[in-house]
Amino acid sequence: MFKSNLEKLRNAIAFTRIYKENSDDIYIREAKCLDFQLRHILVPLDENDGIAGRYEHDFAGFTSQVGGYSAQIGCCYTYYFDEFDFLLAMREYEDQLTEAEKSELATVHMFWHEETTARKLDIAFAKRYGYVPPKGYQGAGAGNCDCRVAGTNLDFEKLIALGFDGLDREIDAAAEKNGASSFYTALKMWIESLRGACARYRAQAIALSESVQSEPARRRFAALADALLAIQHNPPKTFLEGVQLMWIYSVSSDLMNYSRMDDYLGGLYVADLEAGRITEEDAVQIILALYKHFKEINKIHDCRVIIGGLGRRRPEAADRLAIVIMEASRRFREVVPQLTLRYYSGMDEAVFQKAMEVNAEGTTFPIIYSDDTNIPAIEKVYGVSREEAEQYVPFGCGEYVLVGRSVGTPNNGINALKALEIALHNGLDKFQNVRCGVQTGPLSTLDTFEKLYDAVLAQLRPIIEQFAVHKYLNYAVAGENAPYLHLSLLLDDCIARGKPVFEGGVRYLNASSEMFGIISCADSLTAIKTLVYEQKRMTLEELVHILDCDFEGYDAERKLCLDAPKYGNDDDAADAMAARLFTDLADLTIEAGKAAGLDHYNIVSVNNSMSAEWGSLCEASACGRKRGSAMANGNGPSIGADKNGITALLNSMSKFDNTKHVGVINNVRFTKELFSGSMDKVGAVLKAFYENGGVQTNLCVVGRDDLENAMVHPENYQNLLVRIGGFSARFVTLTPVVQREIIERTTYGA
Amino acid sequence: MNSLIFDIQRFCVYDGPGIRTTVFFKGCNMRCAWCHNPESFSTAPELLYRAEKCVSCGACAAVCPHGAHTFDDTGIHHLDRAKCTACGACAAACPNGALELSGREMTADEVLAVIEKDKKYYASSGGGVTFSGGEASLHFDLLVSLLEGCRARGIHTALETNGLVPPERLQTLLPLVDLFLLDYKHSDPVEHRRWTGAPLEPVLETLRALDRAGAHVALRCPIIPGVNDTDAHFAAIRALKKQYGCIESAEIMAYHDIGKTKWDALGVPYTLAALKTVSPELKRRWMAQIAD
Repeated sequence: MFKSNLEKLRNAIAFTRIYKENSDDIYIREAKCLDFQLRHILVPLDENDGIAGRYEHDFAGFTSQVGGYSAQIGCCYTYYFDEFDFLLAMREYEDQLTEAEKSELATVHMFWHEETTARKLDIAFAKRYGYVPPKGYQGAGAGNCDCRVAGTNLDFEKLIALGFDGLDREIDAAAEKNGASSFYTALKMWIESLRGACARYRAQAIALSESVQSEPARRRFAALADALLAIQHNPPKTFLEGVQLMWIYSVSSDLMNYSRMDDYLGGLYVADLEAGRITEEDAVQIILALYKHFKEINKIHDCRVIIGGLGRRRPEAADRLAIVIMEASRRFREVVPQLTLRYYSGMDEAVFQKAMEVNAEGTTFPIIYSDDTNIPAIEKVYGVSREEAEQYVPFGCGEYVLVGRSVGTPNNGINALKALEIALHNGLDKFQNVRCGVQTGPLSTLDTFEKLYDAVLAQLRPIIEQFAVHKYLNYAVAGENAPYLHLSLLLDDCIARGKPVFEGGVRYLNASSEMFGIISCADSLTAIKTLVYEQKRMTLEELVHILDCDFEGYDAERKLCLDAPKYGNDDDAADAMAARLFTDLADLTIEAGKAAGLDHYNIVSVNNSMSAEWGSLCEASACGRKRGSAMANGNGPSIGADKNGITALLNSMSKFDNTKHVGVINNVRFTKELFSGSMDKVGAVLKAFYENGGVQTNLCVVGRDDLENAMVHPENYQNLLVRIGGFSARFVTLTPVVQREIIERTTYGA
Repeated sequence: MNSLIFDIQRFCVYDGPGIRTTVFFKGCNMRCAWCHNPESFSTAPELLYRAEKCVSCGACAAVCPHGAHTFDDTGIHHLDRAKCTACGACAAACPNGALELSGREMTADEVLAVIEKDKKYYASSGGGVTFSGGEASLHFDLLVSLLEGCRARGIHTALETNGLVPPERLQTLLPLVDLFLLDYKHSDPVEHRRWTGAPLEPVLETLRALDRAGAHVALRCPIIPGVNDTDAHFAAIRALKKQYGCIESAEIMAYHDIGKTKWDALGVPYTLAALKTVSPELKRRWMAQIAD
C-alpha cells in the first residue's frame, strides 16, 4: 500500500463532494471524478518499474470493473463504493478522525449506500420483475447475474496512430460539425487528465534517473522520462513510447484486455529494430516490464493479449513482434497474460511453430483460435461484414467483441444441468430445497422424451428472457449515470455521433450469457432417453429416486448411466444431443436479446472454475455424475467420458453450430511426452481441427503424475499451470475439488 | 464376412507416418514370450479379469448363464474359465471395470466407418491406417476388403506383420499396402523358434519377396533383455538394412512390462514376469547399435 487508509477515507470525502457538486452534468462530473481519481490512485514509479503505471483504488470511485467481480465490494461497475473496507478503515482510524470528519464520513457512507450504480441497476430490474437475481452461483435456481462493463477492447490502433493531440483534433473537428457539447468537453478533459498522469510519472522517472546507482538503470529511467514527455502530445515514435502509451491509458481506465498488441505495436517495434535502436532482446525486456504490471493486477479471468490472425494492418511486422511476445510469455510462466494466437490457413509457419514450442513447456499459452472457423461464423452471428468480423477478439474467459466497435459484457451465469434437476422435481431446486423453478409438471406427465426436453427449456426460458433485460438495463443504467469517457474516446462511433458509449455511441451493443453444464445436461438427457424412454430399463420415477439417493445402493444403475453414449467420443447420438441443446439455448438467447433491445445477445460456453464450483451444488445426474461433483467444463466432455482419443474428441467438438455462439472453450490436454515428442503430428492434428470447424483450443501439456504429485507436494509444483476452461491458474492454489476434476479429465497420451 | 477386432485406436503416432488409426485383429500365428497384447493370440473372444479392481459385489455371478463366477465364504471371487463362453454378460454388468470382453465381430463397413472419421487428420499429417494384431493377415479376406476400401478412399495403408504370410497371399497384399511394418525378432533360427514358437525362414522369405517387389518396409525390432539384446542380433539387423534396399528404416521396440497385467488378466502364466521396463538410456544405446 502506498497510501494509508486514513488518506483513502479523506479521498472518499473529496471524491463524494466532487460527485455531488457536479451531478447536474454527468459528463463533466465523470471528467472531474476521473481527474481526481487519477491523481490519487496511481502508484509512484519505483526502481523495479520498466514501464510506468500501477494503481491502487480508493474506497469510492469510478470504474468499469476494478478486477472484475470482488467478493468484498461486489460488482464494481461505474460508480462503486467499497463499504466493507471503508468501515474497517473507519474503525482503524477512529482515534485520529475529527468529529467533523466522522460525521462527514457517515454521510458519505449513507450517500453511497443509495448511490452506487450497481444498486440502481438492482432497483431498475426489481421494478420490472419484483426480485433481484442472485449474484453468485451459491444462490438457488439455474441463474445468477452480476453487473459490470467488462471486456471492452479499445481501438489502440487509433490511440497509437493519433496520440493525444490527434485525438484532441478529432474531437474538435467533430464538435465543429455536430456542435459543441459537454460530452466533447469532458472527453478533452479526460485526455488532459491522462497528460497529467504522464507528467507526474515523468517527474518521478527523472528523479529516479538522478538517484539510481547503476548506469543502465539511469539510462533506462532517462529514456522512460523522454517517452513520458513525448506521448503527452505526439503519437509514439518508438516501441517504448508505444508500450508506455497503451499502458498509461489501460491502467488509468482499468482496462483488462489489450486487443491486438502485435499489430498496433508491431510497426514501432520493427522500425526500432531496423534503425538499430533496440534489439529483439530489448523488446522482450520491455514486454516483460509490462507483464510485471499484469501480474500485479492478476486478473486471471481477463488480461487477454491477442496476436496473429487476419485483418491486421501490418501482418509481417506484427508476426515478428508476435514471436517476441510469445518468447516473453515462455519466460514469464505466470497465469497472465492470457496470450491468445489467432490461427489461419497460410499463416507464417514460424509463428505457429513458436506457439507449439511455448505450449510444449507447459505454459498453457498461447491459447489458439481459428480464424478459418470463426470469421465466417462471426459475420453471420453479428451480421457484419468480413472486414469487421476480422476484428473479433476473445476477451476474459473467451467471449467475443469486435475491437473498437462493440461491447459484449457478460454478467450472467445460467446452469443447464441445474435446469434439468429442477425440471425433474417439478420446479424444486432439490439440492438447495428451494422451490424456485417453473412447475413444469410431475414426472407422470413427462411420458415422452420430448416432453422432458421441453420441460428443461421451459425452466430456462424465463431466466434467459429476464437476464437479457438485465443486460439491457446494465447498459442503460450505466449510460444514465456516466459517459464512460475512457471507453467512448476509443470506441466507434462515439466521437463521430457525439454520443457516449451507452447513449447510442457504440456501434454494436452486444452482450453474452455464460452457459454452464450444457454437456453434463446433454449427456444426462442422452442417458435418460436411452435408458428410460427407449430401452425402458427403469422408469423416470425410479431414475429420479436413484439420483436423489446419489446412486447409493444403485451401482448397477449407475453403471448403466455411465455406459450410456457420451459426448466427446465422436458418437453421433450423444454429439447430436449436445449440439441440439446448444442450438436451442443459443436460439432462445438470440430471441431474448432482440426482444430486450440489445443488438446481439448470444451464449458462450466458456466456463471458468464455475463448472466445478456450481457442480458442487447440484444433485447427482443421469450422466453418472455424483452429487456435488464437477460438471463438464465448457465444450469439454463429461469428466472421464471421452475414451476414443483426441481425434474423436476434436470431431465431437466440431459439431456445434458456430453461427449461434460468441465463444466456446475446448480444453485439450496432452502428456508432455506426446506433445513434445510428436510435435509435428500434434500440430498437424490441431491444424486439421482449426481448418475444419474447430473454434479454438486451450492446450494443457502436463503429466498426470505431475498433477497427482502436486496434490501431495504442492511446494514442488508452484510453477505448474493448468487451464480451467477460460482461465489459467496455478494448480497448487486450486481447491481439492477443482484439482481432482482436472486430474480426472483425460490426459491424452498415445 | 466378419472378423474379430479387439481394439481400434485412433490418434496413434507410433505406428507409421503421421496420425494413424490402428486396427488390432485378434488371432496370431506366433507366441512371443514377451507379447504385450496376449489377448491377440486366440481368434476367439476372451474374458479379461483384473482381480485388483474386483470388489466382490456379485454382479457378474448374478448374470452369468453358466456359473463361471463364484464367490467363496470369504467373499473372494473365482472365475472358472472352463465354464466361460465369453458371452460378455458379466463384463456389461461389472460396475468397476474388473471384467472386460476382448474381441468383437466387425464387418469391413463397420471398421471403415471408424477409419473414415479421422480422414482430415490423415490428410493434414501424412497419416493413414495401420492394420495390426495379432497377425492381421490371418483375417485375409477382411483385410483385403479393408485395404481395397482404403484405396478407394485415398487413405494411406500400413500393415504390421510378423512376416508369417504365405507367398501367394503376400502377392495379393503387395499392391494394396503402402508400407509394411515388418517385425524381426531374432536372427538365430533356433532361438527364434524357441521364443516365438515359429520358424525364422518364412519371415526372411517375406522380406526377400517385399524387396523383389520394391515394397516400402520399416523393420521393427523388439529387443528383450536376455532374449535378443546380443551383439550378433544387432549385427544381423545392420546387415539386413544393408542387404535389402526395401528397408527404409529400422526401429527398436524396447521391452516394457505394461503387458504383464494382461497375461494376469487372461489367467495365463507369464514367463518373463521378472523382467523390468528398459530404460530410455539403454534404448538409446541399442538404437546406436543398429545405426549405419
